[in-house]
Amino acid sequence: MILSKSEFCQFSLKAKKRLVMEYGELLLDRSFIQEKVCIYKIYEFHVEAIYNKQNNELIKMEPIFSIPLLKYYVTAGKKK
Amino acid sequence: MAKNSSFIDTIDQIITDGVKKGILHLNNEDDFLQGNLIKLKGKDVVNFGSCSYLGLEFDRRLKDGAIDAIEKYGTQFSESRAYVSIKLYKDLEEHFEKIFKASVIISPTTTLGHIAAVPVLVSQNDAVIIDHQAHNSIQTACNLLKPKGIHVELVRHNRLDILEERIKELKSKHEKIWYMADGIYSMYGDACPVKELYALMDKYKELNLYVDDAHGMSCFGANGGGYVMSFGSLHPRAVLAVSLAKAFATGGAVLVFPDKEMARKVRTCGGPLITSGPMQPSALGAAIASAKIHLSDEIYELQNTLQDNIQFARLMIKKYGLPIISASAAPVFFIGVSLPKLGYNMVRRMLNDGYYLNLGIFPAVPMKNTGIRFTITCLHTFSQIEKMIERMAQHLTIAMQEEEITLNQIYSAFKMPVPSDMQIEEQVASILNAGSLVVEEYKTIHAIEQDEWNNLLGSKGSFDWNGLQFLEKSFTNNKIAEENWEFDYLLVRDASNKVILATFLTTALWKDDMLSHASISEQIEEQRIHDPYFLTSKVVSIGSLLTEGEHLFLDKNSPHWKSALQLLFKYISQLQEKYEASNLMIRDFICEDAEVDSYFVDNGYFKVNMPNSYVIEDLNWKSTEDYLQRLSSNGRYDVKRYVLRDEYKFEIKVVNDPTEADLELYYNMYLNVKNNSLALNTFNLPFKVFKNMVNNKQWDITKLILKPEFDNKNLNKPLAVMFCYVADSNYIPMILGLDYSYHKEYRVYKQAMYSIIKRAKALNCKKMYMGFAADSEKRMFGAQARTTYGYMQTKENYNLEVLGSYNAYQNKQTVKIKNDTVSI
Repeated sequence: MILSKSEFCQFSLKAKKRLVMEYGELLLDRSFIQEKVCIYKIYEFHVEAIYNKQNNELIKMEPIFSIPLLKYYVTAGKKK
Repeated sequence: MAKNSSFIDTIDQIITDGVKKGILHLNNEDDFLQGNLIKLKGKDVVNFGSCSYLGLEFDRRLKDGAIDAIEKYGTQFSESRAYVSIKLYKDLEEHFEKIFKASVIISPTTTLGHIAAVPVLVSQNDAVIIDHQAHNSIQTACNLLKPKGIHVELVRHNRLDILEERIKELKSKHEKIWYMADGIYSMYGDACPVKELYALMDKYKELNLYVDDAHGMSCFGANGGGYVMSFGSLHPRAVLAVSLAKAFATGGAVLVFPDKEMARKVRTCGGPLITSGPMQPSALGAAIASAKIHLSDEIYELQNTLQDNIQFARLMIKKYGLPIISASAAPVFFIGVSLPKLGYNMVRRMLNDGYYLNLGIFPAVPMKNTGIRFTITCLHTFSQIEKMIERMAQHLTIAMQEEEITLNQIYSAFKMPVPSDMQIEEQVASILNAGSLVVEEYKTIHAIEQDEWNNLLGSKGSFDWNGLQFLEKSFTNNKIAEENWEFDYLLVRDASNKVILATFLTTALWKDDMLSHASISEQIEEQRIHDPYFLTSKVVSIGSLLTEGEHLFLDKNSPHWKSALQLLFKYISQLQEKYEASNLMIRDFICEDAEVDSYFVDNGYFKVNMPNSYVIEDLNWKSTEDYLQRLSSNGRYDVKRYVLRDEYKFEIKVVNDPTEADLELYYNMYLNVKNNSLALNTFNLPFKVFKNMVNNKQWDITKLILKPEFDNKNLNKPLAVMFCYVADSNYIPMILGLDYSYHKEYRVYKQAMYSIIKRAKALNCKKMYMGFAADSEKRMFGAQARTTYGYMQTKENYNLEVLGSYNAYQNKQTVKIKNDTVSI
């Protein structure tokens, strides 16, 4: 049974991570100066997971509401 | 009905049924356990029945704690704690004092903790009010108070409004009032209204609280102190008992007290703490390791993980449209299925599919409120939870079709509205499911063809066509509630118009103790002096309160008999809703039939033993001597000694056209008998019944008169009057009136019995239905006892629990009843 973006947002960060690990699929990851960003496909939406590179700690995991942001991550990968 | 041996038999029947169906009393087959898979019947299944909510049972630190303790102290330290306690006890108590910030005592189990604490805490001048859904172990401990004469009563679940009313009434007579409750209730997973209770405690200084928070411990609160502790520090008048055998994962229990003196007294005087064995080193060692986790921040991570799983499970239940019964943050879930047959079906299906869940069934819940209970722990993954719920939703649809239960019925059983999107599907399903059987429903016997009815049921008792006409006339349009009955008739025919099932039903007010021991009824009748309708319930029953015999015609040779019974169940449930009745009764079954038994239990009825009914099958003797020869030797002796010896002093007269004064006399004679026996406790019959009997040819009324030459008290009135119904060569004594003036000199009751046997013979009747009660006298006259039983369904267990809390032969104790509470 799929969850909507808003239902996904109701969960704690730890639970979101578990949901993504159990139901999601890693599409791409991008490395920036201080952060690593992973983009997952889960249910019918995409999730942006931001990790602190120093300690590899997950600091944010939210659905992507903006298509340009998703395109940005895809493009950022191509530039590499 | 009383919660007596019959109640135990009922539990035995239901549990044994579950064992036979392979879903209860299971044993796992694993040689090694890790995680939440267990092997049952050769198959790995995900365990959704564990109460180890945080999954700590596999934690290395707890295992090491247990092993280390065994290495240091051995497998046991076998001394009463009254003498010496192993050092680990002190260490563990210090940890718990930090967790609860209060004085504590450790007990081997929560049940033993209650048994130790409750009798010490509750004094002679106190009163106890128990939430009727409080855990059985609390109720067991409170039972120890009753022999001391301490006032104990039940109150409906979480009804603080009624509790307050009771406090107002009791506080002037009692020093303290103890309210006994659970923190998280074990079956539905709902919670105690702690905040509101604390407010009530602040308002009434007499109110004290005793809470069993077994299912809340570790899952909630600072340092995992439990659900009650999540509302802040313990109220100064509250005592807490928590289990260590659930989320804490080690076994044992803790009692938490608001002050040291109270803890000291329980530690010193609590029975099991003096005489029972202690917790063993392994459990204490593991408990210390678990307590350390509780005193660290790790406990909050575990609590959060559990809450994530609970939140996910709730969301999935909602998405899959399962009928969940209560919504709280507890890890206990209850999916309503209404009748046991659907519960059995679902648990079996889920087990086959790889998921073990609990069946929530009577007596833990009312029969019609059966459900699938499951628990969520930290060990479950989201996908395990989702797949289990998904499969449950799929199976429920199929199982509901198999068991012919609709969602509407489920929601209605739990008094919940059906979600609007499901209503249309229900209506369509109901049209598609309509079978080939034809149901005929009637409100009066006049609408049914007389010969057909009499052919089906006319020879079974006093409810032939004319008998029912008499009952309808007598029990309608009366002033008093209990004297007005609703009459309903049901005939089920097959496609060839043959009747498969026929019966009549009455809906009337019954005394709940009707079949209880007379000494219990005696106690209850005292309370009815103040509250005439105390422990009374509206009951839809097959038959009536004035008829006995096999009221249900069921053609078991028909292949459709089960479907016909289903239609009866459906009809009787509709009547229950229509008349707002509490209980359903299908009664007067004579022959034991395991198949029928099982079928009734599956459909939410439990078996109740009724008093034996008596029948004289053969009235075909040629002389008194011939009759005597047919009796047992004891019977023969008694009839000769108590009856025939004085027979010549009496004459029997048929009563024709009695005056109003005569009838009043007979009515008072009936009341003499009625008020002298509580063996079958019913409301008094209205006077109108007697008037109607006189005007009905099928009633044969006789009186027993002492001849004037022997009437040395010059009574000049009958000593007995008998009202008997004659139907299809059957003689059916229904009502007896007695004058006890000559009770000592003559065995008037026995003379009366003998007189009606002779009367039946004189009228060429072939059989006598002698009714219930007065067993020894009826046996004496050659009547055969027939074991009689019925099947009952209650909307809720409350009155049953209240009745069960009365003691037969108990001395009278204080009691005043009001609202929905009862003192015992």
